[in-house]
Amino acid sequence: MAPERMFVPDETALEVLRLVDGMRDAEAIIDLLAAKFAAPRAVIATDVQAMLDDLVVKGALRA
Amino acid sequence: MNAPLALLAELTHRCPLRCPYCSNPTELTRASAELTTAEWARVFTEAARLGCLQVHLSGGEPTARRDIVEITAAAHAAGLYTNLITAGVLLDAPLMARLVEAGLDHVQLSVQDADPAGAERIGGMKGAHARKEAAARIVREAGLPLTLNAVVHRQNLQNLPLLIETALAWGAARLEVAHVQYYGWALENRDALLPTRGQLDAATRLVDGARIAHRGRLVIDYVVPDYHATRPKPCMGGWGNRFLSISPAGRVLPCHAAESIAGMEFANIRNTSLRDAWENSEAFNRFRGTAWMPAPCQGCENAERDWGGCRCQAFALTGDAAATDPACALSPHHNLLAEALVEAGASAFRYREFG
Repeated sequence: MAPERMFVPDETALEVLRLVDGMRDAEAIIDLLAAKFAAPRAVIATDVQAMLDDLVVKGALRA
Repeated sequence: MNAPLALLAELTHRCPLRCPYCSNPTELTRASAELTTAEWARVFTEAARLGCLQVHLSGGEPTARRDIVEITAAAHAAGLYTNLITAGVLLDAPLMARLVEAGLDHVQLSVQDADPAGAERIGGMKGAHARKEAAARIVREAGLPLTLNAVVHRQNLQNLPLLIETALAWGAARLEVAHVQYYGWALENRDALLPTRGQLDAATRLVDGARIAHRGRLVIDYVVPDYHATRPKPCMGGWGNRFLSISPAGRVLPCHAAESIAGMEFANIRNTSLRDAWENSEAFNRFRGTAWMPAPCQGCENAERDWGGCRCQAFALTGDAAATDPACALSPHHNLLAEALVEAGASAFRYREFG
């Protein structure tokens, strides 16, 4: 949450955000999700990177 | 019916600044009529139960209340995300420390101009700009995120590049560039504040450029003036849809300017529950949804996008709060905006003051 704006994550986004803890980097998050969902790492990586970039632009996350 | 997600708590109308575009009503509430600490605490608890997630502690100047720390603590205890909207001139490090301790999450600091002399003329307070700079430092040193809020208009738009620089220099993560909206005090001073089309276009280009230049470092929110528009703004995201405001005297309002609509009566938190005011009060239900809409809004494909625009602006310009907002090109009153733009260009304005 931020003033005058609210982010309402869907289930997919929640899976990513639960792993954002200020310690893990994007690569570690992608590894964990690829393992959890037994999905191709490249596909996961594209989606996760796009989402994290978007949140950085919106000021919700720091790179 | 949706839950209100955000609550604007206008704790007081007292303020050391006298900005001529103040969003408070022209009839200001005196300190003796303000809600007590306990009454605000009840409001926050009831708001959270209704589903509200964040509260903006505003005014007037919220830190003019001696119980601002207790009020903040009560909002935090209710589980709300707390945002202090302040002019910053009363903020010192000890007060900031107590606010952090009370659970404050974020500070939104106003600046009247990037140029100190201009800022002090517009705000009507000597020494204000330097105190704001100090306040920004105090907020950042306390570890809280900072938004700088710059209200822009004909008399300070030339300094917009410097305002963006100020936001970066003062450590803000977010800058709100908000063109004046014309109700109450601002409407009285409209001739001195309305920007030209050229000023507006230059400002929009600057904001677009700065967003790219400072991507990931500074988020810029941009609120446009609708006098140059052809479609109205989706005011409040719809009347009684997601937002509610409480006045210093406890009136429960669908927006902070709603008291400018003559003849409307509002529930008061002193003799009703917040839920009852939100769900059942005549004021909230009058313009909720789309059934109340006149032509050309009725049946318009944008009806649930712009909600017919702003009720307060419709009333201010046409005398009928149920009219289509004149900012819409489909409004039969759209010409009123062009006429106002022709008349604008005054330099003198009247400061906000208690009558």
